[in-house]
Amino acid sequence: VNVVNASTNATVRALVAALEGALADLAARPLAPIEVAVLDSGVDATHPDLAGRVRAAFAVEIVKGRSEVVAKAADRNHDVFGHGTGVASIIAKQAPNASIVDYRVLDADNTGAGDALVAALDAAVTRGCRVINMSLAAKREFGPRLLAHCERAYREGLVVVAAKRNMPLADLGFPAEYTAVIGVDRASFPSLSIVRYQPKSVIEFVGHGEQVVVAAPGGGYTTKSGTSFATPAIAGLVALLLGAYPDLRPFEIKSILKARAT
Amino acid sequence: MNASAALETFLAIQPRSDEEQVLRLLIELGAQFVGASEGSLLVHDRRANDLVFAMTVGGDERVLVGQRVPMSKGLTGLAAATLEVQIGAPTFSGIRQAADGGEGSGASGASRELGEKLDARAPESVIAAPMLVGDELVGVITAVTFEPGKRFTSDQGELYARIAAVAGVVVELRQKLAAISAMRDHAGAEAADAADGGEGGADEAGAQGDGRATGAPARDLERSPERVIAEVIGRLSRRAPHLLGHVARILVELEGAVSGARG
Repeated sequence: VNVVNASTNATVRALVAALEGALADLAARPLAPIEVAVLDSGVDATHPDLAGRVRAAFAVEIVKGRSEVVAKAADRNHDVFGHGTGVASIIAKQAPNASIVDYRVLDADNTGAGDALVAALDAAVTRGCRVINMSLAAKREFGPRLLAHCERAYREGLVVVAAKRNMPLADLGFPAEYTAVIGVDRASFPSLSIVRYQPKSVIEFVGHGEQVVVAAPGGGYTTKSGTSFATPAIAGLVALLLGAYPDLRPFEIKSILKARAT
Repeated sequence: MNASAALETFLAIQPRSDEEQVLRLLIELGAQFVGASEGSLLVHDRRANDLVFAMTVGGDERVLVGQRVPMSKGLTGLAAATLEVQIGAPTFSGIRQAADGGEGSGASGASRELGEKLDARAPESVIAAPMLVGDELVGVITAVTFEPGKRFTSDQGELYARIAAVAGVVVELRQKLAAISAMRDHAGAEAADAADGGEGGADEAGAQGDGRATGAPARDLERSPERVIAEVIGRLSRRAPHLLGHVARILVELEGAVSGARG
Protein backbone atom coordinates (compact mmCIF):
# COMPACT_ATOMS: atom_id res chain seq x y z
CA VAL A 1 0.00 0.00 0.00
CA ASN A 2 2.83 2.36 0.85
CA VAL A 3 4.44 1.69 -2.50
CA VAL A 4 1.17 2.46 -4.28
CA ASN A 5 0.68 5.62 -2.24
CA ALA A 6 4.21 6.73 -2.87
CA SER A 7 3.76 6.07 -6.55
CA THR A 8 0.45 7.91 -6.59
CA ASN A 9 1.91 10.84 -4.71
CA ALA A 10 4.85 10.98 -7.12
CA THR A 11 2.43 10.90 -10.04
CA VAL A 12 0.38 13.70 -8.52
CA ARG A 13 3.49 15.76 -7.85
CA ALA A 14 4.66 15.22 -11.41
CA LEU A 15 1.25 16.14 -12.74
CA VAL A 16 1.08 19.29 -10.64
CA ALA A 17 4.61 20.26 -11.69
CA ALA A 18 3.73 19.72 -15.35
CA LEU A 19 0.54 21.75 -15.05
CA GLU A 20 2.23 24.56 -13.20
CA GLY A 21 5.10 24.45 -15.67
CA ALA A 22 2.67 24.72 -18.55
CA LEU A 23 0.95 27.63 -16.85
CA ALA A 24 4.27 29.31 -16.14
CA ASP A 25 5.13 28.92 -19.82
CA LEU A 26 1.79 30.38 -20.72
CA ALA A 27 2.19 33.26 -18.26
CA ALA A 28 5.68 33.96 -19.67
CA ARG A 29 4.24 34.58 -23.14
CA PRO A 30 3.18 38.07 -24.12
CA LEU A 31 -0.34 38.15 -22.73
CA ALA A 32 -3.12 40.42 -23.81
CA PRO A 33 -4.77 42.26 -20.94
CA ILE A 34 -8.09 40.68 -20.04
CA GLU A 35 -10.83 42.32 -18.02
CA VAL A 36 -12.32 39.99 -15.43
CA ALA A 37 -15.57 41.13 -13.85
CA VAL A 38 -15.99 40.08 -10.23
CA LEU A 39 -19.66 40.17 -9.22
CA ASP A 40 -19.44 39.88 -5.46
CA SER A 41 -19.28 41.79 -2.19
CA GLY A 42 -16.86 44.39 -3.54
CA VAL A 43 -13.05 44.37 -3.74
CA ASP A 44 -10.41 46.02 -1.57
CA ALA A 45 -8.28 47.69 -4.23
CA THR A 46 -5.87 48.92 -1.55
CA HIS A 47 -4.72 45.41 -0.65
CA PRO A 48 -1.05 44.94 -1.71
CA ASP A 49 -1.98 41.88 -3.79
CA LEU A 50 -4.52 43.92 -5.75
CA ALA A 51 -2.74 47.26 -5.95
CA GLY A 52 -3.02 48.53 -9.52
CA ARG A 53 -5.06 45.50 -10.55
CA VAL A 54 -8.56 46.95 -10.17
CA ARG A 55 -9.41 48.84 -13.35
CA ALA A 56 -12.92 49.97 -12.45
CA ALA A 57 -15.39 49.62 -9.61
CA PHE A 58 -19.18 49.72 -9.54
CA ALA A 59 -21.89 49.07 -6.98
CA VAL A 60 -25.47 48.10 -7.62
CA GLU A 61 -27.67 50.50 -5.70
CA ILE A 62 -31.39 51.02 -5.50
CA VAL A 63 -32.21 54.28 -7.27
CA LYS A 64 -35.89 55.25 -7.44
CA GLY A 65 -36.85 51.67 -6.74
CA ARG A 66 -34.66 50.19 -9.47
CA SER A 67 -31.31 48.42 -9.31
CA GLU A 68 -28.76 50.66 -10.96
CA VAL A 69 -25.05 50.14 -11.53
CA VAL A 70 -23.23 53.15 -10.09
CA ALA A 71 -19.54 53.90 -10.76
CA LYS A 72 -17.20 54.13 -7.76
CA ALA A 73 -13.56 55.12 -7.31
CA ALA A 74 -11.40 52.20 -8.42
CA ASP A 75 -8.65 52.69 -5.84
CA ARG A 76 -10.71 52.20 -2.67
CA ASN A 77 -11.86 49.39 -0.46
CA HIS A 78 -15.46 48.60 -1.46
CA ASP A 79 -15.65 45.17 0.14
CA VAL A 80 -18.35 44.90 2.80
CA PHE A 81 -17.85 41.23 3.69
CA GLY A 82 -14.36 40.19 2.62
CA HIS A 83 -15.66 37.66 0.10
CA GLY A 84 -14.99 39.60 -3.12
CA THR A 85 -11.44 40.55 -2.14
CA GLY A 86 -10.60 36.89 -1.60
CA VAL A 87 -12.11 35.95 -4.95
CA ALA A 88 -10.32 38.77 -6.81
CA SER A 89 -6.98 37.87 -5.20
CA ILE A 90 -7.18 34.32 -6.57
CA ILE A 91 -7.82 35.64 -10.10
CA ALA A 92 -4.98 38.17 -9.78
CA LYS A 93 -2.62 35.42 -8.63
CA GLN A 94 -3.62 33.01 -11.39
CA ALA A 95 -3.58 35.48 -14.25
CA PRO A 96 -0.99 38.29 -14.23
CA ASN A 97 -2.76 39.78 -17.26
CA ALA A 98 -6.12 40.07 -15.50
CA SER A 99 -7.57 43.48 -14.72
CA ILE A 100 -10.33 43.28 -12.16
CA VAL A 101 -13.61 45.07 -12.74
CA ASP A 102 -15.36 45.17 -9.39
CA TYR A 103 -19.18 44.94 -9.39
CA ARG A 104 -20.50 44.97 -5.84
CA VAL A 105 -23.82 43.15 -5.74
CA LEU A 106 -23.89 42.19 -2.07
CA ASP A 107 -24.31 44.42 0.92
CA ALA A 108 -26.44 44.61 4.02
CA ASP A 109 -29.40 46.07 2.18
CA ASN A 110 -29.78 43.61 -0.66
CA THR A 111 -30.08 40.29 1.09
CA GLY A 112 -30.06 37.61 -1.56
CA ALA A 113 -31.01 40.22 -4.12
CA GLY A 114 -31.17 38.64 -7.54
CA ASP A 115 -32.05 41.99 -9.10
CA ALA A 116 -28.60 43.32 -8.23
CA LEU A 117 -26.94 40.27 -9.75
CA VAL A 118 -28.95 40.57 -12.97
CA ALA A 119 -28.14 44.30 -13.24
CA ALA A 120 -24.43 43.71 -12.69
CA LEU A 121 -24.29 40.82 -15.17
CA ASP A 122 -26.03 42.97 -17.75
CA ALA A 123 -23.49 45.75 -17.14
CA ALA A 124 -20.48 43.42 -17.30
CA VAL A 125 -21.68 41.91 -20.60
CA THR A 126 -22.40 45.34 -22.04
CA ARG A 127 -18.91 46.49 -21.02
CA GLY A 128 -17.48 43.45 -22.78
CA CYS A 129 -15.56 41.91 -19.86
CA ARG A 130 -14.01 38.79 -21.42
CA VAL A 131 -14.37 36.80 -18.18
CA ILE A 132 -17.18 37.21 -15.67
CA ASN A 133 -16.72 35.55 -12.28
CA MET A 134 -19.84 34.87 -10.23
CA SER A 135 -18.97 33.18 -6.95
CA LEU A 136 -22.59 33.19 -5.92
CA ALA A 137 -25.93 31.77 -6.94
CA ALA A 138 -29.28 33.46 -7.37
CA LYS A 139 -32.73 32.19 -6.49
CA ARG A 140 -34.54 30.19 -9.15
CA GLU A 141 -36.95 33.06 -9.91
CA PHE A 142 -34.05 35.07 -11.36
CA GLY A 143 -32.95 32.20 -13.58
CA PRO A 144 -34.60 33.28 -16.84
CA ARG A 145 -33.20 36.82 -16.67
CA LEU A 146 -29.73 35.54 -15.84
CA LEU A 147 -29.98 32.99 -18.65
CA ALA A 148 -30.72 35.73 -21.19
CA HIS A 149 -27.57 37.62 -20.20
CA CYS A 150 -25.46 34.43 -20.09
CA GLU A 151 -26.60 33.54 -23.61
CA ARG A 152 -25.76 37.07 -24.76
CA ALA A 153 -22.32 36.76 -23.18
CA TYR A 154 -21.76 33.42 -24.93
CA ARG A 155 -22.71 34.84 -28.31
CA GLU A 156 -20.34 37.76 -27.78
CA GLY A 157 -17.40 35.56 -26.84
CA LEU A 158 -17.45 36.36 -23.13
CA VAL A 159 -16.88 33.56 -20.63
CA VAL A 160 -19.12 33.41 -17.55
CA VAL A 161 -17.72 31.26 -14.73
CA ALA A 162 -20.17 30.59 -11.89
CA ALA A 163 -20.16 28.70 -8.61
CA LYS A 164 -22.33 25.71 -7.80
CA ARG A 165 -24.60 26.35 -4.85
CA ASN A 166 -23.24 24.95 -1.57
CA MET A 167 -26.65 24.79 0.10
CA PRO A 168 -28.56 21.55 -0.49
CA LEU A 169 -31.53 22.94 -2.39
CA ALA A 170 -33.36 21.38 -5.33
CA ASP A 171 -31.24 23.23 -7.91
CA LEU A 172 -27.45 23.49 -8.15
CA GLY A 173 -27.51 27.25 -8.47
CA PHE A 174 -28.14 29.82 -11.15
CA PRO A 175 -26.43 30.66 -13.42
CA ALA A 176 -24.00 27.75 -12.77
CA GLU A 177 -26.49 25.23 -14.19
CA TYR A 178 -26.62 26.83 -17.65
CA THR A 179 -24.67 25.35 -20.54
CA ALA A 180 -23.56 28.81 -21.68
CA VAL A 181 -21.69 29.04 -18.39
CA ILE A 182 -18.70 27.23 -16.90
CA GLY A 183 -20.23 25.85 -13.69
CA VAL A 184 -17.73 25.06 -10.94
CA ASP A 185 -17.83 22.63 -8.02
CA ARG A 186 -15.10 22.39 -5.43
CA ALA A 187 -12.65 19.75 -4.21
CA SER A 188 -9.36 19.64 -2.38
CA PHE A 189 -6.51 19.60 -4.91
CA PRO A 190 -2.81 20.19 -4.32
CA SER A 191 -2.84 23.24 -6.60
CA LEU A 192 -5.10 25.98 -7.92
CA SER A 193 -4.00 24.90 -11.40
CA ILE A 194 -5.78 21.55 -11.29
CA VAL A 195 -9.15 21.20 -12.97
CA ARG A 196 -11.36 18.13 -12.96
CA TYR A 197 -14.01 17.48 -15.60
CA GLN A 198 -17.31 15.84 -14.58
CA PRO A 199 -18.92 14.58 -17.79
CA LYS A 200 -22.12 13.34 -16.16
CA SER A 201 -22.80 16.38 -14.03
CA VAL A 202 -24.68 19.57 -14.84
CA ILE A 203 -21.75 21.31 -13.13
CA GLU A 204 -19.01 20.26 -15.51
CA PHE A 205 -15.82 21.46 -13.83
CA VAL A 206 -14.22 21.17 -10.41
CA GLY A 207 -11.53 23.46 -9.03
CA HIS A 208 -9.52 23.68 -5.84
CA GLY A 209 -11.69 25.21 -3.13
CA GLU A 210 -10.43 23.92 0.19
CA GLN A 211 -8.45 26.07 2.64
CA VAL A 212 -7.40 28.49 -0.08
CA VAL A 213 -5.19 31.32 1.18
CA VAL A 214 -6.71 34.59 -0.02
CA ALA A 215 -6.32 38.31 0.53
CA ALA A 216 -8.47 39.81 3.26
CA PRO A 217 -9.70 43.40 3.28
CA GLY A 218 -7.35 45.64 5.19
CA GLY A 219 -4.14 44.03 4.03
CA GLY A 220 -4.02 40.62 5.70
CA TYR A 221 -4.63 37.05 4.59
CA THR A 222 -7.06 34.35 5.54
CA THR A 223 -8.18 30.94 4.33
CA LYS A 224 -11.49 30.28 2.60
CA SER A 225 -13.28 27.12 1.51
CA GLY A 226 -16.15 26.40 -0.85
CA THR A 227 -17.22 26.65 -4.47
CA SER A 228 -16.89 30.45 -4.24
CA PHE A 229 -13.12 30.05 -4.16
CA ALA A 230 -12.84 27.20 -6.65
CA THR A 231 -14.61 29.39 -9.22
CA PRO A 232 -11.96 32.16 -9.46
CA ALA A 233 -9.23 29.51 -9.77
CA ILE A 234 -10.85 28.48 -13.04
CA ALA A 235 -11.76 32.05 -14.04
CA GLY A 236 -8.06 32.92 -13.65
CA LEU A 237 -7.06 30.04 -15.92
CA VAL A 238 -9.58 31.24 -18.50
CA ALA A 239 -8.13 34.76 -18.33
CA LEU A 240 -4.65 33.31 -18.87
CA LEU A 241 -5.81 31.31 -21.90
CA LEU A 242 -7.60 34.30 -23.38
CA GLY A 243 -4.52 36.43 -22.77
CA ALA A 244 -2.42 34.01 -24.82
CA TYR A 245 -5.08 33.32 -27.44
CA PRO A 246 -7.55 36.22 -27.47
CA ASP A 247 -9.63 34.76 -30.31
CA LEU A 248 -10.75 31.73 -28.35
CA ARG A 249 -14.53 31.32 -28.14
CA PRO A 250 -16.30 30.10 -24.98
CA PHE A 251 -16.86 26.58 -26.37
CA GLU A 252 -13.15 26.36 -27.22
CA ILE A 253 -12.24 27.43 -23.71
CA LYS A 254 -14.47 24.66 -22.34
CA SER A 255 -12.86 22.15 -24.70
CA ILE A 256 -9.35 23.17 -23.60
CA LEU A 257 -10.29 22.96 -19.92
CA LYS A 258 -11.79 19.53 -20.53
CA ALA A 259 -8.72 18.36 -22.45
CA ARG A 260 -6.31 19.47 -19.73
CA ALA A 261 -8.52 18.27 -16.87
CA THR A 262 -7.36 15.44 -14.65
CA MET B 1 -35.04 38.89 25.32
CA ASN B 2 -34.61 35.21 26.19
CA ALA B 3 -34.34 32.29 23.78
CA SER B 4 -38.02 31.44 23.89
CA ALA B 5 -39.09 35.03 23.28
CA ALA B 6 -36.82 35.37 20.25
CA LEU B 7 -38.04 32.12 18.74
CA GLU B 8 -41.67 32.97 19.38
CA THR B 9 -41.39 36.52 18.06
CA PHE B 10 -39.62 35.75 14.82
CA LEU B 11 -40.31 32.09 14.04
CA ALA B 12 -43.66 31.39 15.75
CA ILE B 13 -41.95 28.66 17.77
CA GLN B 14 -43.73 28.40 21.12
CA PRO B 15 -41.72 28.28 24.38
CA ARG B 16 -40.93 24.73 25.49
CA SER B 17 -42.61 23.37 22.38
CA ASP B 18 -41.48 20.24 20.60
CA GLU B 19 -40.19 22.35 17.71
CA GLU B 20 -37.99 24.35 20.10
CA GLN B 21 -36.66 21.05 21.46
CA VAL B 22 -35.96 19.73 17.97
CA LEU B 23 -34.16 22.94 16.95
CA ARG B 24 -32.02 22.83 20.08
CA LEU B 25 -31.13 19.20 19.42
CA LEU B 26 -30.20 20.06 15.83
CA ILE B 27 -27.87 22.83 17.00
CA GLU B 28 -26.32 20.55 19.64
CA LEU B 29 -25.81 17.69 17.22
CA GLY B 30 -24.46 19.98 14.53
CA ALA B 31 -21.88 21.41 16.91
CA GLN B 32 -20.93 17.89 18.05
CA PHE B 33 -20.61 16.55 14.51
CA VAL B 34 -18.15 19.25 13.45
CA GLY B 35 -16.34 19.44 16.79
CA ALA B 36 -17.41 23.02 17.48
CA SER B 37 -17.08 24.71 20.86
CA GLU B 38 -20.34 26.58 20.34
CA GLY B 39 -23.38 26.34 18.15
CA SER B 40 -25.98 29.08 17.75
CA LEU B 41 -29.20 29.90 15.98
CA LEU B 42 -29.80 33.49 14.92
CA VAL B 43 -33.20 34.55 13.63
CA HIS B 44 -33.77 37.13 10.91
CA ASP B 45 -35.65 40.23 12.01
CA ARG B 46 -36.93 41.44 8.65
CA ARG B 47 -38.25 44.71 10.04
CA ALA B 48 -34.86 45.74 11.46
CA ASN B 49 -32.96 43.76 8.78
CA ASP B 50 -30.59 42.21 11.24
CA LEU B 51 -30.00 38.89 12.95
CA VAL B 52 -30.85 38.13 16.58
CA PHE B 53 -29.19 35.40 18.66
CA ALA B 54 -32.06 33.12 19.68
CA MET B 55 -30.34 29.96 20.89
CA THR B 56 -26.81 28.97 21.88
CA VAL B 57 -25.27 25.70 23.01
CA GLY B 58 -21.80 25.49 24.48
CA GLY B 59 -21.66 29.23 25.11
CA ASP B 60 -23.20 31.57 27.64
CA GLU B 61 -26.79 31.83 26.50
CA ARG B 62 -27.51 34.59 29.04
CA VAL B 63 -24.94 36.81 27.35
CA LEU B 64 -25.57 35.98 23.72
CA VAL B 65 -29.32 35.53 23.36
CA GLY B 66 -31.03 38.73 22.32
CA GLN B 67 -27.79 40.23 20.93
CA ARG B 68 -28.25 41.69 17.48
CA VAL B 69 -25.82 41.21 14.62
CA PRO B 70 -26.07 43.68 11.72
CA MET B 71 -26.57 42.06 8.33
CA SER B 72 -23.49 43.91 7.14
CA LYS B 73 -21.24 42.21 9.67
CA GLY B 74 -19.15 39.13 9.44
CA LEU B 75 -19.76 35.64 8.26
CA THR B 76 -23.34 35.43 9.54
CA GLY B 77 -24.23 38.52 7.51
CA LEU B 78 -22.49 37.07 4.46
CA ALA B 79 -24.35 33.77 4.83
CA ALA B 80 -27.61 35.73 5.06
CA ALA B 81 -26.77 37.94 2.09
CA THR B 82 -25.68 35.11 -0.18
CA LEU B 83 -28.10 32.46 1.15
CA GLU B 84 -25.05 30.20 1.12
CA VAL B 85 -23.07 28.35 3.75
CA GLN B 86 -19.86 30.22 4.56
CA ILE B 87 -16.70 29.03 6.29
CA GLY B 88 -14.33 31.52 7.84
CA ALA B 89 -10.95 31.71 9.49
CA PRO B 90 -9.08 34.57 11.17
CA THR B 91 -7.02 37.12 9.31
CA PHE B 92 -3.24 36.96 9.56
CA SER B 93 -0.65 39.49 8.54
CA GLY B 94 1.23 37.05 6.31
CA ILE B 95 0.45 34.37 3.75
CA ARG B 96 2.39 31.63 5.55
CA GLN B 97 0.65 32.24 8.85
CA ALA B 98 -2.71 32.10 7.12
CA ALA B 99 -1.77 28.88 5.33
CA ASP B 100 -0.49 27.23 8.49
CA GLY B 101 -3.19 28.57 10.76
CA GLY B 102 -0.50 30.26 12.80
CA GLU B 103 1.11 26.91 13.59
CA GLY B 104 4.25 25.27 12.29
CA SER B 105 5.72 28.40 10.77
CA GLY B 106 7.25 30.08 13.74
CA ALA B 107 3.97 31.81 14.36
CA SER B 108 2.71 29.53 17.07
CA GLY B 109 2.25 30.23 20.74
CA ALA B 110 3.78 33.45 21.98
CA SER B 111 4.37 34.94 18.55
CA ARG B 112 0.68 34.67 17.84
CA GLU B 113 0.01 36.60 21.00
CA LEU B 114 2.44 39.24 19.80
CA GLY B 115 0.14 40.05 16.97
CA GLU B 116 0.65 37.55 14.18
CA LYS B 117 -3.06 36.96 14.36
CA LEU B 118 -4.62 40.36 13.98
CA ASP B 119 -7.55 39.77 16.29
CA ALA B 120 -6.56 37.50 19.16
CA ARG B 121 -10.14 37.22 20.43
CA ALA B 122 -11.55 36.04 17.14
CA PRO B 123 -12.69 32.43 16.84
CA GLU B 124 -10.33 30.11 15.03
CA SER B 125 -12.98 29.01 12.58
CA VAL B 126 -16.67 29.61 11.96
CA ILE B 127 -19.39 28.00 9.86
CA ALA B 128 -22.52 30.01 9.10
CA ALA B 129 -25.38 28.35 7.23
CA PRO B 130 -28.61 30.12 6.27
CA MET B 131 -31.90 28.66 7.43
CA LEU B 132 -34.49 28.97 4.69
CA VAL B 133 -38.23 28.50 4.36
CA GLY B 134 -38.64 27.97 0.65
CA ASP B 135 -35.98 30.36 -0.52
CA GLU B 136 -36.66 33.04 2.08
CA LEU B 137 -34.16 33.62 4.86
CA VAL B 138 -35.51 32.97 8.37
CA GLY B 139 -32.23 32.66 10.23
CA VAL B 140 -28.64 31.49 10.32
CA ILE B 141 -27.08 28.66 12.31
CA THR B 142 -23.44 28.86 13.25
CA ALA B 143 -20.65 26.65 14.57
CA VAL B 144 -17.64 28.22 16.24
CA THR B 145 -14.35 26.79 17.44
CA PHE B 146 -11.67 28.47 19.52
CA GLU B 147 -9.27 25.52 19.28
CA PRO B 148 -5.91 26.89 18.03
CA GLY B 149 -5.21 26.04 14.41
CA LYS B 150 -8.51 24.18 13.87
CA ARG B 151 -10.23 24.89 10.55
CA PHE B 152 -13.66 23.74 9.46
CA THR B 153 -13.68 21.97 6.11
CA SER B 154 -16.07 22.31 3.19
CA ASP B 155 -17.49 18.88 4.01
CA GLN B 156 -18.29 20.07 7.52
CA GLY B 157 -19.81 23.18 5.99
CA GLU B 158 -22.03 21.04 3.77
CA LEU B 159 -23.09 18.97 6.77
CA TYR B 160 -24.05 22.17 8.55
CA ALA B 161 -25.93 23.32 5.46
CA ARG B 162 -27.98 20.14 5.63
CA ILE B 163 -28.70 20.66 9.30
CA ALA B 164 -29.82 24.19 8.46
CA ALA B 165 -32.08 22.75 5.75
CA VAL B 166 -33.72 20.40 8.27
CA ALA B 167 -34.10 23.26 10.75
CA GLY B 168 -35.76 25.30 8.00
CA VAL B 169 -38.27 22.52 7.40
CA VAL B 170 -39.09 22.42 11.14
CA VAL B 171 -39.76 26.18 11.08
CA GLU B 172 -41.80 25.89 7.89
CA LEU B 173 -43.98 23.18 9.41
CA ARG B 174 -44.59 25.31 12.48
CA GLN B 175 -45.52 28.33 10.39
CA LYS B 176 -47.87 26.33 8.19
CA LEU B 177 -49.57 24.84 11.23
CA ALA B 178 -49.93 28.34 12.65
CA ALA B 179 -51.43 29.52 9.37
CA ILE B 180 -53.86 26.57 9.26
CA SER B 181 -54.87 27.23 12.83
CA ALA B 182 -55.37 30.92 12.06
CA MET B 183 -57.55 30.06 9.07
CA ARG B 184 -59.64 27.73 11.22
CA ASP B 185 -60.03 30.41 13.87
CA HIS B 186 -61.01 32.90 11.19
CA ALA B 187 -63.51 30.53 9.60
CA GLY B 188 -64.94 29.68 13.01
CA ALA B 189 -65.33 33.35 13.90
CA GLU B 190 -67.03 34.08 10.58
CA ALA B 191 -69.40 31.18 11.12
CA ALA B 192 -70.18 32.45 14.61
CA ASP B 193 -70.74 35.96 13.25
CA ALA B 194 -73.02 34.60 10.56
CA ALA B 195 -74.96 32.63 13.15
CA ASP B 196 -75.23 35.79 15.29
CA GLY B 197 -76.11 37.92 12.27
CA GLY B 198 -73.22 40.23 13.21
CA GLU B 199 -70.58 41.82 11.00
CA GLY B 200 -66.79 41.78 11.07
CA GLY B 201 -64.59 38.91 12.01
CA ALA B 202 -61.72 37.76 14.07
CA ASP B 203 -58.39 39.49 13.89
CA GLU B 204 -56.18 38.25 11.13
CA ALA B 205 -53.69 35.81 12.51
CA GLY B 206 -50.67 34.05 11.11
CA ALA B 207 -47.88 35.81 9.28
CA GLN B 208 -48.22 39.57 9.57
CA GLY B 209 -46.07 40.40 6.60
CA ASP B 210 -43.65 42.45 8.64
CA GLY B 211 -41.21 39.74 9.41
CA ARG B 212 -42.78 38.74 12.69
CA ALA B 213 -44.91 35.67 13.15
CA THR B 214 -47.82 35.57 15.56
CA GLY B 215 -47.15 32.14 16.95
CA ALA B 216 -50.85 31.26 16.90
CA PRO B 217 -51.19 27.86 18.54
CA ALA B 218 -52.28 24.87 16.52
CA ARG B 219 -54.69 23.87 19.24
CA ASP B 220 -56.31 20.83 17.82
CA LEU B 221 -53.33 19.33 16.10
CA GLU B 222 -51.64 16.77 18.29
CA ARG B 223 -47.89 17.37 18.32
CA SER B 224 -45.00 15.36 19.60
CA PRO B 225 -41.28 15.29 18.80
CA GLU B 226 -41.81 11.99 17.01
CA ARG B 227 -44.57 13.57 14.93
CA VAL B 228 -42.37 16.54 14.08
CA ILE B 229 -39.55 14.21 13.03
CA ALA B 230 -41.93 12.09 10.96
CA GLU B 231 -43.23 15.20 9.22
CA VAL B 232 -39.69 16.41 8.57
CA ILE B 233 -38.87 13.06 6.94
CA GLY B 234 -42.07 13.18 4.90
CA ARG B 235 -41.46 16.68 3.63
CA LEU B 236 -37.83 16.00 2.83
CA SER B 237 -38.71 12.86 0.89
CA ARG B 238 -41.08 14.89 -1.27
CA ARG B 239 -39.07 18.09 -1.66
CA ALA B 240 -35.43 17.10 -1.34
CA PRO B 241 -34.97 13.33 -1.46
CA HIS B 242 -31.24 13.81 -2.02
CA LEU B 243 -31.02 15.07 1.56
CA LEU B 244 -32.55 12.03 3.17
CA GLY B 245 -29.42 9.91 3.29
CA HIS B 246 -27.43 12.71 4.84
CA VAL B 247 -29.98 13.66 7.46
CA ALA B 248 -30.91 10.10 8.38
CA ARG B 249 -28.07 10.01 10.86
CA ILE B 250 -29.23 13.30 12.40
CA LEU B 251 -32.81 12.10 12.65
CA VAL B 252 -31.80 8.80 14.23
CA GLU B 253 -29.82 10.77 16.80
CA LEU B 254 -32.82 13.01 17.36
CA GLU B 255 -35.18 10.12 17.90
CA GLY B 256 -32.72 8.57 20.32
CA ALA B 257 -32.36 11.84 22.19
CA VAL B 258 -36.12 12.39 22.36
CA SER B 259 -36.72 8.82 23.53
CA GLY B 260 -33.97 9.21 26.09
CA ALA B 261 -35.44 12.44 27.38
CA ARG B 262 -38.85 10.80 27.74
CA GLY B 263 -37.54 7.57 29.23
